[in-house]
Amino acid sequence: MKISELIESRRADWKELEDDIEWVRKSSRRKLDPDRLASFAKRYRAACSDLSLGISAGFPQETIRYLHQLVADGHAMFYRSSTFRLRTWGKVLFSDVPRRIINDPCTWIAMALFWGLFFGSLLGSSVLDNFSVEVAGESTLAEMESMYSEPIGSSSTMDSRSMMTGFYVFNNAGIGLKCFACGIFLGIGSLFILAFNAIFLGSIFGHMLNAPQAGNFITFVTAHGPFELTAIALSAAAGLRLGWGIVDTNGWERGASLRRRASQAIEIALTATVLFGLAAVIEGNISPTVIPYPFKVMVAALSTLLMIVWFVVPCLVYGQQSSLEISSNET
Amino acid sequence: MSIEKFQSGVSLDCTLQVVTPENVCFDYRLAGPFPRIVALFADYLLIAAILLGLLILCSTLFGEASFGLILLSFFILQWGYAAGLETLCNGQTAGKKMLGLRVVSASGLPINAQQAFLRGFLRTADMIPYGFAGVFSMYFSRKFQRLGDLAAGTIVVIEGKQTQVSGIKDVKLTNISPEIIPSKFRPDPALIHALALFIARRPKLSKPRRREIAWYLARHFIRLWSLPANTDPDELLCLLYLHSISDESILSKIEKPAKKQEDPVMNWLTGEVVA
Repeated sequence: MKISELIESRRADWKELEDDIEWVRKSSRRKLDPDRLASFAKRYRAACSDLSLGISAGFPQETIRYLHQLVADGHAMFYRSSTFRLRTWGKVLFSDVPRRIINDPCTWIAMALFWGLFFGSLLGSSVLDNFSVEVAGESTLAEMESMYSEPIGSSSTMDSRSMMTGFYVFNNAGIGLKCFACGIFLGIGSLFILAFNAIFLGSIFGHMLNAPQAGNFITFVTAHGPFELTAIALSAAAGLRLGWGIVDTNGWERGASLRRRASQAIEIALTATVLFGLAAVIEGNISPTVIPYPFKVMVAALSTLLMIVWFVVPCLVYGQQSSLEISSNET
Repeated sequence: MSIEKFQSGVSLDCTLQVVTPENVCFDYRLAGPFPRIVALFADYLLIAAILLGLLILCSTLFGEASFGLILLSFFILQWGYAAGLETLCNGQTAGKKMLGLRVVSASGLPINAQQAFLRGFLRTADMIPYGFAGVFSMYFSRKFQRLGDLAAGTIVVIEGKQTQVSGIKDVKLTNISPEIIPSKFRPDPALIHALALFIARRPKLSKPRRREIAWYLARHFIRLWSLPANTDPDELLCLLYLHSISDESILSKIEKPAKKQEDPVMNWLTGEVVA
């Protein structure tokens, strides 16, 4: 057979493969007709051998280029990744992720760093007169004092509440994701942002607790505190997990180690984002209202309990080790 | 680059070879920073337009409360626009679609949601400072990967438009007769490959340039077959190519092993195995 004849004879088949690829791309997994799928497989593999034949037999270049594209598209559809399944996601969400976060040293490093610096600067600004002024600056402190000068809830309206909720998600969760992303620089970016936030918040807390507005301040920050502060620490833990994968490869090739840790890190980052979202809802709708203080304490206690249950119960039920081998404490 | 590699059709351009389980290599053309930056700006413009539309719509409907909604949608678009579209539209945002780019896994497979969100989140790190981190990363990684791509294991490729094959281009041969090729002549695969490459590039060259390039190969045949000195080298090569792709012996030499390899799989799939 001549090459020109062969190309002519195969062309109809290639056209059908194009249609098949489009058909597989458009239809959902369950609706795929098995017979047509089998013929798609057959045509795809025939196109593969056409390509290798074409390269060795010197087909015209435009035909080769066309076959490259055809095989690439076919490959992408033939071996496409699995779709979303609710059941596996339930297991990931309520068993794998909390256990991986608890077992991850990065979580505890970030927690220790955050709370250490937070309480350190809280203590520092309570004991030393100049500490909070040096850290936060005169104007910020004055602004904070004026913000909490009136009793909480006196000027809150429905509109301002929904606006502030949006603002807290945008600002806080945005900072959290930035903190995570900066972890790619060997984890240093995340640690820097975490340390900055810990020291800044600590000194503000230290200053406000000793200010005349302390009562209003505490009434405001109690309810959303647990979610928000945990979320900041977790964002940094996610970034650290990501960046540390480049440093400590655990015997893997460096790029592969990064990719492996990245899939673990994004779980932590998304957890932190969810916590920021919950914190924003509380901060926008419960914290600035006239609801009695004991109720706000209850919200804080409940959110702490919720986190403890989510983190600890899976560890107790399914054991410490995560079922996936990407748990972090293998050596 | 070794000679064998050159002969086997590996191009020197920015392409990535993917080996399929069928033992076939295909090429992806990698996208460099410049089309990607244009695509990014197109996406930013679209986001800005959406936000502006929302702002006008919401502020007329809800008043002050709408700013919360705007900020929330800004957050979602900022962090989720690219990731969401890349997950749903098989690796393409609106900007990428405009420029014919697509995100795929480094293995050549479509990306999943996790990869899309990883590279979406890490775009922030790539932007530090003013996008230098990302451009540096693209420069130093072999596959034009920014930091987000490295972490997610993805690449950005240029989509070739699927053009229907037009068959072998007719070359008008006016001053040359097919009889000048000896009937015993059998071109070897390397020669056919070189001829195919020449034929592919030929339409982009001017006539004198075609002759100049063709001369290097054609002069050997002119001497070998003692053709007249004024033979057009360009036309000679076209004739040789036409001769070689209509030569029955070439295909039969190569076709056999390829067929043997593929038959069991195809038969199994179509249920034609009798034994």
